[in-house]
Amino acid sequence: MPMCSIKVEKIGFKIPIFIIRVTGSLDAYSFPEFEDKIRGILDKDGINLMFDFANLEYISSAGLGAMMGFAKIAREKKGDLVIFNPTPKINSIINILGLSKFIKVFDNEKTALSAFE
Amino acid sequence: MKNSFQIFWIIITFIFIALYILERKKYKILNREKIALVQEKEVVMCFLQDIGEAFTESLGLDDLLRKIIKCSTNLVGANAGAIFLSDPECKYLQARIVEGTFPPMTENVGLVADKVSTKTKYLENILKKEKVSYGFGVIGEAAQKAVPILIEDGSKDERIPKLKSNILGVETMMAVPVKIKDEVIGVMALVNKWSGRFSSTDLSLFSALADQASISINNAKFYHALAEKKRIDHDLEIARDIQHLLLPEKFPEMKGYGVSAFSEAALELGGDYYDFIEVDDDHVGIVIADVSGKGVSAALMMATCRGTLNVIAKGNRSPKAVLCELNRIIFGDIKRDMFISVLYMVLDVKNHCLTAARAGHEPILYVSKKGSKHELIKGNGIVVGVDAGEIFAENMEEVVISLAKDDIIVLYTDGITEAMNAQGREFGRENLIEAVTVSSGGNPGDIGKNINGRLARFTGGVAQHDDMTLLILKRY
Repeated sequence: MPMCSIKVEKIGFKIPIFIIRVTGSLDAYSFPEFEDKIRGILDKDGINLMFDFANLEYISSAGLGAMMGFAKIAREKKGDLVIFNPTPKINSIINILGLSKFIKVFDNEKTALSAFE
Repeated sequence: MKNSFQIFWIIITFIFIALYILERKKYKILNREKIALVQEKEVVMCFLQDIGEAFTESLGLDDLLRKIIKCSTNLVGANAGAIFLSDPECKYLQARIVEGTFPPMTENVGLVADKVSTKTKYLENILKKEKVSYGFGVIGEAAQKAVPILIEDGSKDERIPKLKSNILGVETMMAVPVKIKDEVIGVMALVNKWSGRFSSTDLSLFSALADQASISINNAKFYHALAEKKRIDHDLEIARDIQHLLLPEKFPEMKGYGVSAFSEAALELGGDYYDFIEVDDDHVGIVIADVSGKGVSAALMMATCRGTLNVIAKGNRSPKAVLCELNRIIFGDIKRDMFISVLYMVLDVKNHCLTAARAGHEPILYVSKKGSKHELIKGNGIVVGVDAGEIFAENMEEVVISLAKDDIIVLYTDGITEAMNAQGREFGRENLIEAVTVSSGGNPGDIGKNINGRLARFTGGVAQHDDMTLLILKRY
């Protein structure tokens, strides 16, 4: 089972934005560590998160549940969370679950950045 | 010449006598060492026997530790002993078991003990509460350096806490690390000897006892973990049985319709379920749901969802209204990182009309015209539990399907379409559609068997990571 790794980049001057590039598979085995890392960012570093899902091969429902939880925390702190570049498969899962009504999904990084302007 | 010859022989004789005496002394020393080793061996054997008995009597870690320290104090001839265990992060140690009048190991706590009382039980409680940092005093040093420490004369050693009470004075002391492989898990310590002071021979014996004790402690921990796992497995087995009871025991009798269904959890407990609800005389509610995540939390949410839905669905013919109410109730009880996808349909058995609403669940597979036509019905909808109500209701769409003779409705969870084979390929909707269309002439049981057979062939016995649930409805 492929593992999950994340790379975090910080951009923006007035409003710091964190781009989180996720690679691999976000399932029951990898998601506790993923959840700890993202919660750490939300607690200490910043509340505006952009998730790059271009290299995310699989996400379980628990992983999507965690994303919903992060979005709620970010918004409670007056920040936001968006996703960009999802594979067609993951995009379809997000749409079937109706989660696109709560988390904005963009085709690319440039349009995703516009959500924070 | 004769005289010098005699002197020579006298000297030789003396040398031989001296050598003999020297060898005799060496022999005596070796013999004493041999006796000491034999005694140590006997003591260790006796200790092992006692510890072995402790195992047959009880597997509790505290009982075993008590036995170990009791045996050690008796065998070495010490007045008091204690076993200190490390915290998981190896920052400090705390006394777990105390035998005899063992003095506090830090002066702060010691002062309190000094003033108040020297009663053994009271001292034991004080000792158990104090945290000895790694590197601090005799106990902390034995843990940090992982070496045995012998203090022959306690009055001259700065590592011994200075207490006013004579009863708590440390005349002599030994502390040895208890190691499992190379990891220090605690320290065993003895204070004051019945007579005299501890020697290097005592330290060697005490170290040997500690080595044996560490094996026993490791085994006890292992058995304890095993017993705990057995208990949890037993609880899970009961929970699994209860969860099975939540699935319908038999399918409802619906004139002109046939039904089949199955649900299989990936772990002991699942988050999927299906159910039939009697709405009124002519209407039957049919539900399939999938709670995000797996295991105990998912199973508890599944039971909550089922119970709530059963209450609110009675007498209500609108799936949209029922799901909105379900969402309103569940939203207050669900963790913010969980949700439930639910597909709820109300079948009008008289007019063959099926009304469905999809709360983020997989689309309905509708196969008609004797298997020649299929359609995925995707009415809008959001999973239950992520919105308080307004957005949920705005986005919820109700679809109506008029069922003709031989029409088939298939409901499934993503565990079916995402079932994986050894190559990491998913079963997919296409395989599901084909499995249904080719067997559409049969009854729902036959169609279900065909889907199951294809799933088993496709996955080739690979263990699945998600719960799988399937429900088939056919109009005759």
